Amino acid sequence: MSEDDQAHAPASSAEGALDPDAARDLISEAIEDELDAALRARFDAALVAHPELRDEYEGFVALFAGARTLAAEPTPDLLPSVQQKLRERSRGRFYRDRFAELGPSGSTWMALAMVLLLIVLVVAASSWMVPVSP
Amino acid sequence: MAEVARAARELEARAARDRFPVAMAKPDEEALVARLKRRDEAAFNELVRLYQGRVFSVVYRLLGDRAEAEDLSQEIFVTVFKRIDSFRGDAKLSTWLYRVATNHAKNRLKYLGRRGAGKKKELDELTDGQASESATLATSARIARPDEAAEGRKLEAFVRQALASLPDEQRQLVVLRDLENLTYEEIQQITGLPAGTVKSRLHRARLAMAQHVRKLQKGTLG
Repeated sequence: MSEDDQAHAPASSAEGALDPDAARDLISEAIEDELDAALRARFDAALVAHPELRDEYEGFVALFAGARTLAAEPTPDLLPSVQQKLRERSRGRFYRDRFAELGPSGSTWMALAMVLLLIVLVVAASSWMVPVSP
Repeated sequence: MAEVARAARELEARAARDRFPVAMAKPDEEALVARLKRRDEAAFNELVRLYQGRVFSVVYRLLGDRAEAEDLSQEIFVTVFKRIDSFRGDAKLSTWLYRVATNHAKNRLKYLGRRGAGKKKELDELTDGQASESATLATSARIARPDEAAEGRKLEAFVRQALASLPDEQRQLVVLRDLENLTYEEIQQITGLPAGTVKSRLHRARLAMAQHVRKLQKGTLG
């Protein structure tokens, strides 16, 4: 048994009501409904016999309920930021920017430039070939 | 006495329903993990959407600072994406996530401690009169009568302050057990502590919180 276990082991002064210190050590178990029926009866008897212990126990119950009902914080949407971090840290291997992919890529720009150059050349050549009238 | 306990149980049940209802069937979880290990982006999106509430909540409770919690939660999911191969499946995925989250939170607390940042800044702010009046807290929202609503707000503010006053390792246990409603077995898997130690530390933490709240209620604490 560890030191912590020993510190937390139930103890009592008699077979009836638990003494206040022993009962105090069992408050957590009592609240979590972990005491067997016999021990629970002795715990309850201690609460009746010691009003200060009962006050303490009720304060504990209220605290316990208060802790469990603390409002859940509104959660921010983490997904966009997580995706962005993964995209940056994987250098685009994951979560590639598909919106950017929809735009023209480098090769598209190159093809477009070639077509424009071809048009300019054709226009220039055709204007050079047109006979100049006297 | 019985009424107090019954009211407490009712509040707890309601809180459990309102929290993040994540209960994934084992085959579904195994399938999700398999997809995650293939670095399936859609699976990862699903994971983030499913668990971001829980991760953010636990981190926020531990750090007490919303901006830090948001940043750290993002880092936790980045780590999960990179390290999912180390998940062996001997615990639930959610338990493994909690372990990653609490380890990150501990490291961040150390870092913030070194930097001297006010780690409990927002929790402390919540105990100010103005903040506790404006806080939209669950208990107060569920209690009909205005005087009871005010009491509920006050109690929640006290609980937050008491939580912030705990040492880090005790706060971790209270957050996991009393706020996140995890089982003792899950807490053991997350913290690596033996059952007896978890229970005794948790008991001490609750006693300290109860004493802190009592002092606040009596007005003997600043």
